[in-house]
This record gives sequence, C-alpha cells and structure tokens, in this order.
Amino acid sequence: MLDPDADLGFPQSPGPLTTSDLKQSNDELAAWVDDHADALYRFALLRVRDKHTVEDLLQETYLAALGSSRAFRGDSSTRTWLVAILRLKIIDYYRRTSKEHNPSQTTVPTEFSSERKERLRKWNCEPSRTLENQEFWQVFRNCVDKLPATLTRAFSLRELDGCSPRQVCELLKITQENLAVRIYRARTLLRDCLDKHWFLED
Amino acid sequence: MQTLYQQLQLILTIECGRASQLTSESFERKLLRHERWALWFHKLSCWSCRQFERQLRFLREAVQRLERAEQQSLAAGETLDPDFKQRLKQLKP
Repeated sequence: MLDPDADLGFPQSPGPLTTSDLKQSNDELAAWVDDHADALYRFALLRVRDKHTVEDLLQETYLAALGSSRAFRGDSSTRTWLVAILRLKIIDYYRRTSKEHNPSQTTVPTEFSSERKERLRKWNCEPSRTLENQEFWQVFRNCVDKLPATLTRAFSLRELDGCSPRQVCELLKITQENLAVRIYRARTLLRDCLDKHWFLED
Repeated sequence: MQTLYQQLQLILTIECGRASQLTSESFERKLLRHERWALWFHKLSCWSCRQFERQLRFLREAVQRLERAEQQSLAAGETLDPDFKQRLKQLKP
C-alpha cells in the first residue's frame, strides 16, 4: 500500500492534449475538488500538522491526478484513487524531511519514562455507547491533534495506516527501540488526554 | 541475550512503569518469554495495569475508527479554506 513505485495508472506516454480534453479535465477537476478536497484535507492534516504543507500536498495530488486522469478507468472509486495519490505524496514528504525532522533525537524521548503514581480510573467505555457518540469523536480528534509533531509521524503510520514497525522504522530512519518509545509516549499522552477530557465526566 | 539472573530480576521487581511499557510493546512485537511472565504476574496483583491494558485496547480501536467516523459526520471536521479550493480548481495540467 505504501510502495512508492506502486502503479497508480499514470499514463506511460500521454498523447497531445486537445481543447476538448482540456475543457473536460477542468470540469472533472472542479468536481474532484468539490467532492473530495475536504476529506483529503482532513486525511493529510492528521498526518502532517502544518496547514501550509498540507495545502502544498493537496496541490501536488490534484496535479498528479490531472496528469493521469485519462488513464484512470474507474477501476477504483475516485476518492480511493485520490487518497492513494495523496498517501504517496505524504510518504514522499516524510522522506524529504526526515533529516531535518530527526536531527538528533533531542526533542524525542529516547528512553521510556513514566512512573504511574496514582491509581487509574476505570473507563466506562462500552464501544457501542462511546464509539457512536459524535461528541466523543470531537474530543478524541482534539486529543490526537494535540500530540507533539515529533510523535505524529510514527503514530499515524503505525496506528492509522497500519504499517509494520519495520516499515515505519525504515521510513523515518529510526531504530525499533526509538519507535517503541515514541508509540508508547503517544499512547500515554492520548490516554491521559481522554482520561481528563472525556472519562472524567462519566 | 539477557542472563537468567536478569530475567528473574525483571519478573521479581517489575513495577507499573515498566509494566506499562511492556503492555504497549506487546502491541508492537511478540514479547520475550520472561517479559510475558513478568507482565502476567504483575497484572495479577495490579488493578491499574489491568485497566491500562484495557484502555490501550480501546484507544487502538478508536484510532482505527477515527477516519471512518469523520467521513460519516462531515460537519465535525475541519474544512479547507474556500479560496484555496478555488485555486485548486484553476490548476492546469
């Protein structure tokens, strides 16, 4: 799924564009933007915090989509197809910035550190009651958004995209131990946030 | 490779901090045998760590459903700047 060389149906040798092709691609583009841009935006925002970067990535995605639209035969839905392109753009962005994002791992804890002193509160979290509650999702999304940027990449690749630990480590150029620490940190932060903002009121 | 002494030490002295890490790591990799034992013994007597494990499971499930939940209730999420949308529509191949 994350293979950058995956065949997305980009045309091998696009023929010359005619005026009617252009007109058609303009209408198509407008429809793609109206129907899918918000969803793509949220998809990217979860994985890349910076709004300007997200806008750049969206622009690249739509450009790539335009370039390949004539080869797209509708064998997957448009949304799925656009998300697949965007996903590659995000991975590409992670690769490009992994150096500056990861210089010395000073901002990222390199060791586990957590002494839990107090007794945990029991969560009253029947899935049927909680996971269908719209307010819960708002609180949850806020908590996810509050995760520090240094943890977002590892966390979203591993938990949202379901990459294997090995894939994540290769992509982010970090060790397995460091990944485990980041994931653990992200999970505990998320847990604390939910504990405070959602389950407190139960 | 850890010595038998170190393995025994983990089993006998594990506290909540280490147990939470191992709980989290158990989602990432298969724990070593002595780690599993240590965690198991610890959880027998530690109510908080049993809760912690349950909560992590819940979190994973929630994360996996987050995007679907947002697709279903469009209004809840953030939307793209309208001006930028217009600019997207003007893109030329």
